[in-house]
Amino acid sequence: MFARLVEERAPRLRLPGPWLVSAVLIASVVALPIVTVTSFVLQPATEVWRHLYETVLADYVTNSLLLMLGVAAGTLAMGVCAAWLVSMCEFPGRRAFEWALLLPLAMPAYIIAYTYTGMLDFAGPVQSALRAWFGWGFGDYWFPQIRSLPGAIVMLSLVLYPYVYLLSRAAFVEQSVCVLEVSRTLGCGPWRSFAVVGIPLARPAIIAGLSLALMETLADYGTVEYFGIPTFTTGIFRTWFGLGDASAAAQLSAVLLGFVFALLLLERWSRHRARFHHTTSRYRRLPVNRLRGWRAALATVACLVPVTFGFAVPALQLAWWAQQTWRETLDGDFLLLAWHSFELAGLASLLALALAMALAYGQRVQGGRALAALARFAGMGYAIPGTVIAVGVLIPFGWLDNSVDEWMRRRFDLSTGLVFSGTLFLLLFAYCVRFLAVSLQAVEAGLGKVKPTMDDAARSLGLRPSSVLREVHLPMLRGTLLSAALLVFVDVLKELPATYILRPFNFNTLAVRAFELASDERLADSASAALAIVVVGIVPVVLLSRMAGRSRPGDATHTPEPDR
Amino acid sequence: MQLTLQNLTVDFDTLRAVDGVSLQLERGSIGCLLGPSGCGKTTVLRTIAGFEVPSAGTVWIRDREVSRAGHALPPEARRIGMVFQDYALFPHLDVARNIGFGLRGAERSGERVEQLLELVDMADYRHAYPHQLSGGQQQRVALARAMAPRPDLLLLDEPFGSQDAELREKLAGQVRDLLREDSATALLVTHDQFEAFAMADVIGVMNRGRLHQWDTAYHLYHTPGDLFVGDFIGQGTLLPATRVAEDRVLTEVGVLQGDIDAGLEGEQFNLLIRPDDVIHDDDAESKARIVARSFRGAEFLYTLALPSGNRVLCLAPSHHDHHVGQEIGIRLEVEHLVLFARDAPGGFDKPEGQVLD
Repeated sequence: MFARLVEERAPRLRLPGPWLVSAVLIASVVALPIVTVTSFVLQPATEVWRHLYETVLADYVTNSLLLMLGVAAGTLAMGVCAAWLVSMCEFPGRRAFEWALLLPLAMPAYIIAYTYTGMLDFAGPVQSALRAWFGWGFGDYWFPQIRSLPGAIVMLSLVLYPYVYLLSRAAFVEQSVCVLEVSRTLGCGPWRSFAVVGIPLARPAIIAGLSLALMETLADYGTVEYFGIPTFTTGIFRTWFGLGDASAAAQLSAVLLGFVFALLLLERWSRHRARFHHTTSRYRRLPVNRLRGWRAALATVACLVPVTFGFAVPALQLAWWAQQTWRETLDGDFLLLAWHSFELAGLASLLALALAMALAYGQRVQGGRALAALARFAGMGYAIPGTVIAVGVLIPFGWLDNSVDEWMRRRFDLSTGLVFSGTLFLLLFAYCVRFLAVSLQAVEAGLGKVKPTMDDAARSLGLRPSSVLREVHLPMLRGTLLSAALLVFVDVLKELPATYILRPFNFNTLAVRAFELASDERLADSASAALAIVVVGIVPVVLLSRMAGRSRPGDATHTPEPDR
Repeated sequence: MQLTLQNLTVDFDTLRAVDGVSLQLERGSIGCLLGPSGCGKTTVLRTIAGFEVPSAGTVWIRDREVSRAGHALPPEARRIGMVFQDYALFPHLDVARNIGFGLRGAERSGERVEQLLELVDMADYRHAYPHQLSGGQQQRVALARAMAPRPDLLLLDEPFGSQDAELREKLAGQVRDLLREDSATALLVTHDQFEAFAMADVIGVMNRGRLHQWDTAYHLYHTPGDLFVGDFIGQGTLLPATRVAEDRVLTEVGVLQGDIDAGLEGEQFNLLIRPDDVIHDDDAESKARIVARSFRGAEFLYTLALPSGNRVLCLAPSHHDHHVGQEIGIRLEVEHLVLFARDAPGGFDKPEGQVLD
């Protein structure tokens, strides 16, 4: 009679062991580059390191700090203003700006950098037009040099402000109207209420967005390399490939990692604080301040500037160049590049999705602090610059390859070659480290919508655990899984430094090709590849804006939850 | 018997959530577990459903043993239906497919689904999705979904917990009628006694994992088995009373006559006085001073202080409009003399005459 009785506690889908094992394995993937790079701190300094220390290290630190400072100012000014305007005011074009302000996310920094260089150089259309109008000649006038530190600050700010915009808008939009209204009843006007209540309540979110933008600034390789500014990322690259010193490159990476870690702490800390900032759970439509006259015009301009210069102008320039050159550039080689990029991005997104599912289900099915901590750790890889990841995985796998090869040669007189570091394996490994967080976040959010009582309900209605997975989880998660894969796909497509360093010999992608052509001053020829990246990059922007639009409880567009 | 629990005990690590609960539920009747939050009532329900495993005791559903110490038949093999507090409707399925979820094959869109759509009055919403429904509609769909496979036993976890207080009693009545129409056997869990009164044939009062009394609503109110039940169900106060005869006790308001539990020994007791036992009568000898009053529409609930300082509650028709501080005449009419030993252990240790609610 007890033949069908189960021994253990019978509740939700419950399996032992394997979840923890896989979580540990996944977390160690992320840990590998970090451990590798930091372990070199303990190594004795080489000749090259001493040389770096005496000559360029101070430059790296100063330039990286100045870059961060400038980008912080730029992204805060554009991001917070825009978020404030679209969430709190009504002015012409507000609804369109809500999503259009995200468009610069589709524009990789290195692409915008060389597009503007092409436009603003001596031979570019802007200076040529000025000369034609005023009849100036060479040396008659002063024009700002785009390939400079301030230039890099402007470029990076233009494409990174959406991080600040996105998070601070979400914070403004989720703020309970009650606290703003309380402030009004206590005698503060709408603008003052915003300054003394709205901004302080949103501060943690603003800081979190800012730290994301600064992490990207530190991780940037293409822009600073193209502008010839010595920073950590370009320094690591030169130390490794120019000076051939892996250990000094790793030590530089460790210093960079220190900066990143500080930002990561800042972000985690402010996100943690943000949780305490929701004072009530009652929401209504935000009171809208309808702007008129010059105020409305000013608001429109304030939103128009970042969209125009961060997306519209460079995209149009790229389209113009592509239009001139596509006949030569869109050949078999280009199709092969596109195929490589898509193949790589597709594989990486599936891999990252599988790992994210393993982590997310482990937490749901088994729970416990260990699994949660491992998932949090594995989700930190997004903060590690691609250059650092590349150095951190190339060193151990290169060593492994050489050892295996040597052993095989000695034993069987057979050369295996570079099994790991010479193939796509290493590249996919690096992508998983960097982009696992993206898919993990999406999968966790989606799984959170499948409440545990739904599992219970399905089982009380006669479904076995495997059927619950098929009939409840899979249909409910389908959209989430698709967008998780898509986000990683696009990120991989745009990724430059890790791809540049780790790609197998003679294996090129759209991003690498665009960057190489631009570095050779063949800007117009690189436009087709760049434009392809930008167009695909618009997909996650659409996804993001749809998600952001639905985020607010109590909003008209929000689907009602059961009252409770 | 449709459901039998014998000495059911459930432990969570070191916490004993359910402690030796035994009860029986007849086929076609509606039972209810009532108690403050954290009393273990939901754990009993989840153990019957097979989501928790007992550490001692046995569960039978339709005379089939489904749980015993350390063993549990999985939920999907128990032929039960469960309605969850948050309804747990599947957001990716419409109303008709939610209701048909527990059915197999062609039945999923067959006659039974139609029948239930009619029964819960949701036929017009068959293609609506859960997020488009009001709370009450979602609740009816959740009920229909649980009833669709004609389970041997229907379990309802705080089914009206998220509704307005006013709606609750109305919905409870509706659900009772639906269950009766389908001749279902059901056990529900609630912390709201009026909900329990409105739905259940038998009610069990639980506290700290123990089942104090498994009885009809009438008996729980008029003959509570212990102080906790007397305290938890309805309102009332305790008055010191001395037993003077087989069916008589002496209190400061006079000698009262009524039924007394046969097995009771001793002389000194506390007598439970309900507000409806205290009759306002201007001609009565005993006087009491009003210390508080609350208007309830049809009646006033007066809190009265007796000359000794002990307090009683009095329900008076609302045209008897007296002020705080005024003295009014009262007499006691008690049918069942509910006596507790002076030192009886119970859910409260308030001095005699204090107001309980």
